Amino acid sequence: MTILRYELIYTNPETNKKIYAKIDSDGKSYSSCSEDNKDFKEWKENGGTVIEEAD
Amino acid sequence: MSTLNVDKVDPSTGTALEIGTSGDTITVPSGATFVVAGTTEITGTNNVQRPNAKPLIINGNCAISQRSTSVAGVGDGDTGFHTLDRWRFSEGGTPSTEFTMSQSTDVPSGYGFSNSLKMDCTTADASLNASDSMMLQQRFEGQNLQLLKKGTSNAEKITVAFWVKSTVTGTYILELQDSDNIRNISKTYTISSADTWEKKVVNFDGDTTGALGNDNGNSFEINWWLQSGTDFATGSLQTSWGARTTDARATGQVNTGSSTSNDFLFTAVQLEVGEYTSATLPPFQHESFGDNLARCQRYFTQFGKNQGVTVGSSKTYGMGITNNDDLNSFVHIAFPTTMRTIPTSITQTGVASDYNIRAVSTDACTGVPTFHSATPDAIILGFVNSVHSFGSGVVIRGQTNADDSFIGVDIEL
Repeated sequence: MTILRYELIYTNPETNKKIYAKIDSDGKSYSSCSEDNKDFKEWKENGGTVIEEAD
Repeated sequence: MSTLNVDKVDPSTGTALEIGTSGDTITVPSGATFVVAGTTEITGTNNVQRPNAKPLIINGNCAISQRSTSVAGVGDGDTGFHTLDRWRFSEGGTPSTEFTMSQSTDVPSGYGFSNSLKMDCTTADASLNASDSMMLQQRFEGQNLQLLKKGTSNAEKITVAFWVKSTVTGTYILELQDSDNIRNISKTYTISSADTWEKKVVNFDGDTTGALGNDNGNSFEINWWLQSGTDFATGSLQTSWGARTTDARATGQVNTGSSTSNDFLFTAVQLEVGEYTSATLPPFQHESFGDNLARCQRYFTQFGKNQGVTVGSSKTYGMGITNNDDLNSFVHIAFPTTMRTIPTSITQTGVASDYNIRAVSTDACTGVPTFHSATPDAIILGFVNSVHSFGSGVVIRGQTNADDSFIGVDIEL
Protein backbone atom coordinates (compact mmCIF):
# COMPACT_ATOMS: atom_id res chain seq x y z
CA MET A 1 0.00 0.00 0.00
CA THR A 2 1.48 3.34 -1.03
CA ILE A 3 1.78 5.99 1.68
CA LEU A 4 -0.33 9.04 0.83
CA ARG A 5 0.50 11.35 3.73
CA TYR A 6 1.02 11.64 7.48
CA GLU A 7 -1.53 13.60 9.51
CA LEU A 8 -0.92 15.05 12.98
CA ILE A 9 -3.33 13.52 15.50
CA TYR A 10 -2.19 15.31 18.66
CA THR A 11 0.83 16.12 20.76
CA ASN A 12 1.42 13.81 23.71
CA PRO A 13 1.40 16.21 26.68
CA GLU A 14 3.56 13.87 28.76
CA THR A 15 6.38 13.45 26.24
CA ASN A 16 5.70 16.53 24.09
CA LYS A 17 6.05 14.23 21.07
CA LYS A 18 3.77 14.70 18.08
CA ILE A 19 1.72 11.64 17.15
CA TYR A 20 0.89 11.08 13.46
CA ALA A 21 -1.51 8.83 11.58
CA LYS A 22 -0.09 7.34 8.38
CA ILE A 23 -2.68 7.58 5.62
CA ASP A 24 -2.41 5.02 2.84
CA SER A 25 -3.51 5.34 -0.78
CA ASP A 26 -7.01 4.05 0.03
CA GLY A 27 -7.47 6.99 2.40
CA LYS A 28 -7.43 4.79 5.52
CA SER A 29 -4.95 4.71 8.37
CA TYR A 30 -3.40 1.37 9.24
CA SER A 31 -0.68 2.73 11.50
CA SER A 32 0.37 5.64 13.68
CA CYS A 33 3.69 6.77 15.03
CA SER A 34 5.53 9.37 17.03
CA GLU A 35 7.71 12.04 15.45
CA ASP A 36 10.73 9.87 16.38
CA ASN A 37 9.72 7.09 14.00
CA LYS A 38 12.47 6.31 11.49
CA ASP A 39 10.13 5.73 8.54
CA PHE A 40 8.26 8.96 9.29
CA LYS A 41 11.47 10.96 9.45
CA GLU A 42 12.74 9.48 6.18
CA TRP A 43 9.40 10.22 4.52
CA LYS A 44 9.53 13.82 5.71
CA GLU A 45 13.18 14.26 4.67
CA ASN A 46 12.33 12.97 1.20
CA GLY A 47 9.68 15.64 0.78
CA GLY A 48 6.66 13.57 1.77
CA THR A 49 3.43 15.34 2.66
CA VAL A 50 2.83 15.90 6.38
CA ILE A 51 -0.46 17.53 7.45
CA GLU A 52 0.11 19.49 10.66
CA GLU A 53 -3.34 21.05 10.99
CA ALA A 54 -4.65 19.17 14.01
CA ASP A 55 -4.05 20.18 17.59
CA MET B 1 58.48 -37.48 18.36
CA SER B 2 57.44 -41.07 17.66
CA THR B 3 54.32 -42.02 15.74
CA LEU B 4 51.94 -44.80 16.70
CA ASN B 5 50.37 -46.21 13.56
CA VAL B 6 47.50 -48.54 14.43
CA ASP B 7 43.98 -49.01 13.09
CA LYS B 8 42.29 -49.35 16.47
CA VAL B 9 42.88 -48.65 20.15
CA ASP B 10 40.66 -51.02 22.09
CA PRO B 11 40.72 -50.77 25.92
CA SER B 12 39.67 -53.72 28.02
CA THR B 13 35.92 -54.03 28.49
CA GLY B 14 34.72 -51.51 31.03
CA THR B 15 38.03 -49.62 31.11
CA ALA B 16 38.12 -45.88 30.36
CA LEU B 17 40.67 -44.82 27.74
CA GLU B 18 42.89 -41.93 28.84
CA ILE B 19 44.91 -39.74 26.49
CA GLY B 20 47.78 -37.71 28.01
CA THR B 21 48.03 -36.23 31.46
CA SER B 22 47.31 -32.86 33.04
CA GLY B 23 49.27 -30.12 31.33
CA ASP B 24 49.63 -31.98 28.02
CA THR B 25 48.43 -30.45 24.77
CA ILE B 26 46.40 -32.72 22.48
CA THR B 27 46.44 -31.35 18.95
CA VAL B 28 43.92 -32.17 16.25
CA PRO B 29 45.52 -31.33 12.88
CA SER B 30 43.65 -29.06 10.50
CA GLY B 31 41.29 -31.14 8.38
CA ALA B 32 41.21 -34.12 10.74
CA THR B 33 37.73 -35.28 11.71
CA PHE B 34 36.27 -37.02 14.73
CA VAL B 35 33.37 -39.27 13.83
CA VAL B 36 30.95 -40.65 16.41
CA ALA B 37 28.61 -43.46 15.36
CA GLY B 38 28.82 -42.43 11.74
CA THR B 39 28.05 -38.75 12.40
CA THR B 40 30.70 -36.11 11.89
CA GLU B 41 31.28 -34.31 15.16
CA ILE B 42 34.39 -32.13 15.03
CA THR B 43 36.81 -31.13 12.32
CA GLY B 44 40.14 -29.60 13.29
CA THR B 45 39.72 -26.22 11.59
CA ASN B 46 39.75 -23.97 14.66
CA ASN B 47 36.05 -23.25 14.05
CA VAL B 48 34.13 -21.67 16.90
CA GLN B 49 31.98 -24.34 18.49
CA ARG B 50 28.69 -23.04 19.95
CA PRO B 51 26.90 -26.30 20.88
CA ASN B 52 24.65 -24.79 23.55
CA ALA B 53 24.07 -21.34 22.06
CA LYS B 54 20.98 -20.20 20.20
CA PRO B 55 21.27 -20.08 16.40
CA LEU B 56 22.58 -16.76 15.08
CA ILE B 57 19.85 -16.76 12.44
CA ILE B 58 16.41 -16.12 13.93
CA ASN B 59 13.45 -18.04 12.50
CA GLY B 60 15.78 -20.01 10.23
CA ASN B 61 13.16 -22.76 10.04
CA CYS B 62 10.50 -20.25 8.85
CA ALA B 63 8.04 -21.37 11.55
CA ILE B 64 7.06 -17.91 12.85
CA SER B 65 4.85 -15.59 10.80
CA GLN B 66 3.09 -13.26 13.24
CA ARG B 67 2.00 -10.64 10.68
CA SER B 68 0.51 -12.92 8.04
CA THR B 69 1.05 -16.25 6.40
CA SER B 70 0.63 -14.92 2.85
CA VAL B 71 0.73 -11.50 1.18
CA ALA B 72 0.11 -11.00 -2.55
CA GLY B 73 1.52 -8.33 -4.84
CA VAL B 74 4.86 -7.83 -3.10
CA GLY B 75 6.99 -5.73 -5.41
CA ASP B 76 7.87 -2.10 -6.11
CA GLY B 77 7.60 0.08 -3.00
CA ASP B 78 7.19 -2.89 -0.69
CA THR B 79 10.56 -3.08 1.05
CA GLY B 80 9.91 -4.35 4.55
CA PHE B 81 8.40 -7.25 6.46
CA HIS B 82 5.25 -8.94 5.17
CA THR B 83 4.96 -12.53 6.35
CA LEU B 84 7.70 -14.53 8.08
CA ASP B 85 9.27 -12.86 11.08
CA ARG B 86 12.81 -11.50 10.62
CA TRP B 87 12.78 -12.19 6.87
CA ARG B 88 12.81 -8.85 5.04
CA PHE B 89 11.91 -8.25 1.41
CA SER B 90 14.03 -5.51 -0.16
CA GLU B 91 13.72 -3.93 -3.58
CA GLY B 92 15.27 -1.03 -5.43
CA GLY B 93 14.65 0.79 -8.68
CA THR B 94 11.18 0.44 -10.19
CA PRO B 95 10.75 -3.30 -10.64
CA SER B 96 7.48 -4.48 -12.16
CA THR B 97 7.93 -8.04 -10.91
CA GLU B 98 5.52 -9.02 -8.14
CA PHE B 99 5.51 -12.04 -5.86
CA THR B 100 3.13 -13.63 -3.43
CA MET B 101 5.27 -14.00 -0.33
CA SER B 102 4.11 -16.78 1.94
CA GLN B 103 4.88 -19.29 4.64
CA SER B 104 4.85 -22.59 2.77
CA THR B 105 4.63 -26.19 3.99
CA ASP B 106 6.79 -27.31 1.06
CA VAL B 107 10.01 -28.47 2.75
CA PRO B 108 12.86 -30.91 2.17
CA SER B 109 11.47 -34.13 3.58
CA GLY B 110 13.06 -36.11 6.36
CA TYR B 111 14.92 -33.31 8.14
CA GLY B 112 12.33 -32.20 10.68
CA PHE B 113 11.25 -28.98 9.01
CA SER B 114 7.63 -27.90 8.60
CA ASN B 115 7.83 -24.55 6.83
CA SER B 116 9.71 -22.57 4.23
CA LEU B 117 9.62 -19.05 2.83
CA LYS B 118 8.06 -19.04 -0.63
CA MET B 119 8.23 -16.33 -3.30
CA ASP B 120 5.69 -17.13 -6.04
CA CYS B 121 6.07 -14.86 -9.06
CA THR B 122 2.66 -13.46 -10.03
CA THR B 123 3.74 -10.60 -12.30
CA ALA B 124 6.73 -11.39 -14.48
CA ASP B 125 9.36 -9.08 -15.93
CA ALA B 126 11.90 -10.73 -18.18
CA SER B 127 13.53 -7.42 -19.11
CA LEU B 128 14.68 -5.61 -15.98
CA ASN B 129 15.48 -1.92 -15.70
CA ALA B 130 19.15 -1.25 -14.95
CA SER B 131 18.39 -0.11 -11.40
CA ASP B 132 15.98 -2.91 -10.50
CA SER B 133 16.87 -5.20 -7.63
CA MET B 134 15.06 -7.62 -5.36
CA MET B 135 16.37 -9.71 -2.51
CA LEU B 136 15.47 -11.44 0.73
CA GLN B 137 17.41 -10.41 3.81
CA GLN B 138 18.08 -11.15 7.40
CA ARG B 139 19.61 -8.29 9.41
CA PHE B 140 21.61 -8.59 12.64
CA GLU B 141 22.33 -6.44 15.66
CA GLY B 142 26.07 -5.75 15.88
CA GLN B 143 26.15 -6.79 19.53
CA ASN B 144 25.07 -10.30 18.52
CA LEU B 145 27.91 -10.80 16.03
CA GLN B 146 30.93 -9.63 18.03
CA LEU B 147 32.08 -13.27 17.97
CA LEU B 148 32.92 -12.75 14.28
CA LYS B 149 35.82 -10.54 15.50
CA LYS B 150 35.28 -8.52 12.36
CA GLY B 151 37.80 -5.76 11.83
CA THR B 152 40.54 -7.59 13.74
CA SER B 153 43.41 -9.82 12.67
CA ASN B 154 41.46 -12.71 14.21
CA ALA B 155 38.38 -12.20 12.02
CA GLU B 156 36.46 -15.45 11.69
CA LYS B 157 35.43 -17.11 8.46
CA ILE B 158 31.67 -17.38 7.96
CA THR B 159 29.52 -20.18 6.58
CA VAL B 160 25.92 -19.75 5.46
CA ALA B 161 23.93 -22.93 4.80
CA PHE B 162 20.35 -23.41 3.68
CA TRP B 163 17.96 -25.59 1.72
CA VAL B 164 16.68 -23.94 -1.45
CA LYS B 165 14.25 -24.84 -4.22
CA SER B 166 13.76 -22.74 -7.34
CA THR B 167 12.17 -23.06 -10.73
CA VAL B 168 15.00 -21.14 -12.38
CA THR B 169 18.25 -23.09 -12.58
CA GLY B 170 21.63 -21.41 -12.79
CA THR B 171 23.74 -18.98 -10.78
CA TYR B 172 22.47 -17.17 -7.68
CA ILE B 173 24.19 -14.59 -5.51
CA LEU B 174 24.46 -14.72 -1.72
CA GLU B 175 25.88 -11.51 -0.30
CA LEU B 176 27.09 -10.42 3.14
CA GLN B 177 27.05 -6.74 3.99
CA ASP B 178 28.68 -4.94 6.89
CA SER B 179 26.19 -2.10 7.19
CA ASP B 180 28.29 -0.14 9.69
CA ASN B 181 31.20 0.22 7.30
CA ILE B 182 29.42 -0.50 3.98
CA ARG B 183 31.69 -3.38 3.12
CA ASN B 184 30.47 -6.35 1.10
CA ILE B 185 31.35 -9.78 -0.18
CA SER B 186 29.34 -11.91 -2.63
CA LYS B 187 29.51 -15.60 -3.46
CA THR B 188 27.64 -17.70 -5.97
CA TYR B 189 25.64 -20.85 -5.50
CA THR B 190 24.04 -22.92 -8.22
CA ILE B 191 20.54 -24.32 -8.57
CA SER B 192 21.16 -27.50 -10.52
CA SER B 193 17.66 -28.95 -10.84
CA ALA B 194 14.44 -27.02 -11.27
CA ASP B 195 11.87 -27.20 -8.48
CA THR B 196 14.01 -29.59 -6.42
CA TRP B 197 15.22 -29.05 -2.86
CA GLU B 198 19.00 -28.66 -2.76
CA LYS B 199 21.22 -27.94 0.24
CA LYS B 200 23.80 -25.18 -0.19
CA VAL B 201 26.82 -24.43 1.98
CA VAL B 202 28.51 -21.16 1.12
CA ASN B 203 31.82 -20.03 2.65
CA PHE B 204 33.02 -16.47 3.16
CA ASP B 205 36.38 -15.15 4.34
CA GLY B 206 36.67 -13.21 7.56
CA ASP B 207 37.07 -9.47 7.21
CA THR B 208 40.02 -7.91 9.03
CA THR B 209 38.75 -4.40 8.24
CA GLY B 210 35.77 -2.63 9.77
CA ALA B 211 34.49 -3.56 13.23
CA LEU B 212 30.77 -4.07 13.80
CA GLY B 213 29.11 -1.69 16.24
CA ASN B 214 28.64 -3.34 19.61
CA ASP B 215 25.06 -2.14 19.96
CA ASN B 216 21.45 -2.90 18.99
CA GLY B 217 21.59 -1.30 15.55
CA ASN B 218 21.65 -2.96 12.15
CA SER B 219 25.28 -3.90 11.58
CA PHE B 220 25.20 -6.88 9.28
CA GLU B 221 22.94 -8.46 6.70
CA ILE B 222 22.76 -11.55 4.54
CA ASN B 223 21.17 -10.98 1.14
CA TRP B 224 19.63 -13.65 -1.08
CA TRP B 225 19.36 -11.92 -4.47
CA LEU B 226 16.24 -12.65 -6.54
CA GLN B 227 16.96 -10.38 -9.47
CA SER B 228 19.49 -7.71 -10.38
CA GLY B 229 19.50 -5.04 -13.08
CA THR B 230 22.72 -4.19 -14.86
CA ASP B 231 23.58 -1.50 -12.30
CA PHE B 232 24.48 -4.36 -9.96
CA ALA B 233 25.82 -6.83 -12.46
CA THR B 234 28.35 -5.48 -14.94
CA GLY B 235 31.52 -5.70 -12.86
CA SER B 236 33.45 -8.77 -11.84
CA LEU B 237 31.63 -10.25 -8.82
CA GLN B 238 33.06 -8.89 -5.55
CA THR B 239 34.17 -12.19 -3.99
CA SER B 240 36.51 -10.62 -1.42
CA TRP B 241 35.60 -8.22 1.36
CA GLY B 242 35.93 -4.61 0.33
CA ALA B 243 34.14 -1.30 0.13
CA ARG B 244 30.81 -1.93 -1.59
CA THR B 245 31.14 -1.82 -5.36
CA THR B 246 27.61 -1.49 -6.67
CA ASP B 247 28.14 -2.96 -10.13
CA ALA B 248 29.92 -6.01 -8.68
CA ARG B 249 27.34 -7.02 -6.07
CA ALA B 250 25.25 -9.52 -8.05
CA THR B 251 26.93 -10.24 -11.36
CA GLY B 252 25.55 -13.45 -12.81
CA GLN B 253 22.33 -13.55 -10.78
CA VAL B 254 19.45 -15.24 -12.63
CA ASN B 255 16.06 -13.53 -12.75
CA THR B 256 13.59 -15.39 -10.54
CA GLY B 257 10.88 -12.99 -11.73
CA SER B 258 11.16 -13.88 -15.40
CA SER B 259 7.94 -15.95 -15.51
CA THR B 260 4.77 -16.38 -13.49
CA SER B 261 5.63 -20.07 -13.41
CA ASN B 262 8.59 -19.34 -11.14
CA ASP B 263 8.81 -20.13 -7.45
CA PHE B 264 11.73 -19.58 -5.07
CA LEU B 265 11.75 -21.19 -1.60
CA PHE B 266 14.24 -21.59 1.22
CA THR B 267 14.39 -22.91 4.77
CA ALA B 268 16.79 -24.34 7.36
CA VAL B 269 19.01 -21.30 7.18
CA GLN B 270 22.18 -21.41 9.29
CA LEU B 271 24.89 -18.85 9.93
CA GLU B 272 27.95 -20.56 11.38
CA VAL B 273 31.21 -19.06 12.57
CA GLY B 274 34.05 -20.82 10.78
CA GLU B 275 34.56 -22.64 7.50
CA TYR B 276 32.48 -25.74 7.03
CA THR B 277 31.70 -28.15 4.24
CA SER B 278 28.49 -30.07 3.71
CA ALA B 279 30.20 -32.95 5.57
CA THR B 280 31.35 -30.93 8.57
CA LEU B 281 28.49 -28.46 8.94
CA PRO B 282 26.97 -28.61 12.44
CA PRO B 283 23.39 -29.88 12.40
CA PHE B 284 20.58 -27.30 12.27
CA GLN B 285 19.69 -26.26 15.81
CA HIS B 286 15.97 -26.94 16.08
CA GLU B 287 14.38 -24.64 18.67
CA SER B 288 11.01 -25.04 20.33
CA PHE B 289 8.26 -22.95 18.73
CA GLY B 290 8.09 -20.86 21.92
CA ASP B 291 11.81 -20.09 21.99
CA ASN B 292 11.73 -19.16 18.31
CA LEU B 293 8.68 -16.91 18.80
CA ALA B 294 10.23 -15.18 21.81
CA ARG B 295 13.38 -14.32 19.84
CA CYS B 296 11.24 -12.92 17.00
CA GLN B 297 9.23 -10.83 19.47
CA ARG B 298 12.30 -8.77 20.30
CA TYR B 299 11.73 -7.22 16.85
CA PHE B 300 7.99 -7.52 16.28
CA THR B 301 5.03 -8.38 18.49
CA GLN B 302 1.45 -8.78 17.35
CA PHE B 303 -1.42 -8.89 19.83
CA GLY B 304 -4.82 -10.32 18.85
CA LYS B 305 -4.88 -12.11 15.50
CA ASN B 306 -1.52 -13.80 15.06
CA GLN B 307 -0.23 -16.28 12.48
CA GLY B 308 -3.73 -16.43 11.01
CA VAL B 309 -5.19 -17.51 14.35
CA THR B 310 -7.94 -15.27 15.73
CA VAL B 311 -8.80 -14.70 19.38
CA GLY B 312 -12.39 -13.54 18.72
CA SER B 313 -14.29 -10.50 19.93
CA SER B 314 -14.30 -8.90 23.40
CA LYS B 315 -10.87 -10.20 24.33
CA THR B 316 -8.80 -7.78 26.38
CA TYR B 317 -5.59 -6.24 25.03
CA GLY B 318 -4.89 -4.37 28.26
CA MET B 319 -6.22 -2.15 31.02
CA GLY B 320 -6.53 1.59 30.68
CA ILE B 321 -8.17 4.76 31.87
CA THR B 322 -10.39 7.31 30.16
CA ASN B 323 -8.87 10.70 29.44
CA ASN B 324 -10.57 13.98 30.30
CA ASP B 325 -11.17 14.74 26.60
CA ASP B 326 -14.13 12.35 26.28
CA LEU B 327 -12.28 10.87 23.31
CA ASN B 328 -9.16 8.88 24.18
CA SER B 329 -8.71 6.08 26.64
CA PHE B 330 -5.09 5.19 27.26
CA VAL B 331 -4.51 1.45 27.37
CA HIS B 332 -1.36 -0.19 28.75
CA ILE B 333 -0.07 -3.42 27.18
CA ALA B 334 3.07 -5.22 28.39
CA PHE B 335 5.31 -6.85 25.79
CA PRO B 336 6.00 -10.58 26.14
CA THR B 337 9.73 -9.91 25.83
CA THR B 338 11.91 -6.83 26.05
CA MET B 339 12.04 -5.30 22.60
CA ARG B 340 15.20 -4.29 20.74
CA THR B 341 14.68 -0.61 21.44
CA ILE B 342 11.86 1.84 22.20
CA PRO B 343 8.98 1.32 19.74
CA THR B 344 7.71 4.42 17.95
CA SER B 345 4.73 3.09 15.98
CA ILE B 346 1.88 0.60 15.89
CA THR B 347 -0.17 -1.05 13.16
CA GLN B 348 -3.85 -2.00 13.30
CA THR B 349 -6.60 -3.19 10.97
CA GLY B 350 -7.65 0.25 9.73
CA VAL B 351 -11.21 -0.37 10.95
CA ALA B 352 -12.27 1.52 14.11
CA SER B 353 -15.08 -0.87 14.97
CA ASP B 354 -12.59 -3.77 15.23
CA TYR B 355 -11.78 -2.35 18.69
CA ASN B 356 -13.82 -1.78 21.89
CA ILE B 357 -13.48 -0.03 25.18
CA ARG B 358 -15.34 -1.60 28.06
CA ALA B 359 -16.18 -0.27 31.55
CA VAL B 360 -19.68 -0.93 32.87
CA SER B 361 -20.75 -1.46 29.28
CA THR B 362 -19.00 -1.99 25.96
CA ASP B 363 -18.60 0.69 23.30
CA ALA B 364 -17.13 0.11 19.85
CA CYS B 365 -14.34 2.53 19.05
CA THR B 366 -15.04 5.43 16.70
CA GLY B 367 -11.42 5.79 15.65
CA VAL B 368 -8.58 3.30 15.17
CA PRO B 369 -6.11 2.81 18.06
CA THR B 370 -3.13 5.14 17.96
CA PHE B 371 0.42 5.09 19.28
CA HIS B 372 0.86 7.18 22.46
CA SER B 373 4.16 6.24 24.13
CA ALA B 374 6.31 3.20 24.82
CA THR B 375 9.30 1.69 26.56
CA PRO B 376 11.07 -1.51 25.42
CA ASP B 377 8.85 -3.38 27.90
CA ALA B 378 5.38 -1.87 27.42
CA ILE B 379 3.30 0.43 25.27
CA ILE B 380 0.43 2.84 25.85
CA LEU B 381 -2.15 3.16 23.09
CA GLY B 382 -4.97 5.62 22.54
CA PHE B 383 -8.28 3.77 22.14
CA VAL B 384 -10.57 6.31 20.49
CA ASN B 385 -14.26 6.66 21.31
CA SER B 386 -15.97 10.02 20.95
CA VAL B 387 -19.36 8.90 22.24
CA HIS B 388 -18.61 6.99 25.44
CA SER B 389 -20.36 8.21 28.58
CA PHE B 390 -17.98 6.68 31.13
CA GLY B 391 -16.59 10.04 32.26
CA SER B 392 -12.92 10.84 32.83
CA GLY B 393 -10.52 8.85 34.97
CA VAL B 394 -12.53 5.67 34.69
CA VAL B 395 -10.77 2.31 34.46
CA ILE B 396 -11.55 0.56 31.19
CA ARG B 397 -10.35 -2.37 29.16
CA GLY B 398 -9.14 -2.05 25.56
CA GLN B 399 -10.57 -4.97 23.63
CA THR B 400 -10.89 -6.74 20.32
CA ASN B 401 -14.25 -6.39 18.56
CA ALA B 402 -13.67 -8.65 15.52
CA ASP B 403 -11.85 -11.82 14.61
CA ASP B 404 -9.34 -9.83 12.54
CA SER B 405 -8.56 -7.35 15.32
CA PHE B 406 -4.84 -6.97 16.01
CA ILE B 407 -2.23 -4.50 17.18
CA GLY B 408 1.29 -4.83 15.83
CA VAL B 409 4.43 -3.27 17.28
CA ASP B 410 7.39 -3.23 14.91
CA ILE B 411 10.93 -2.30 15.85
CA GLU B 412 12.69 -4.41 13.22
CA LEU B 413 16.16 -3.73 11.91
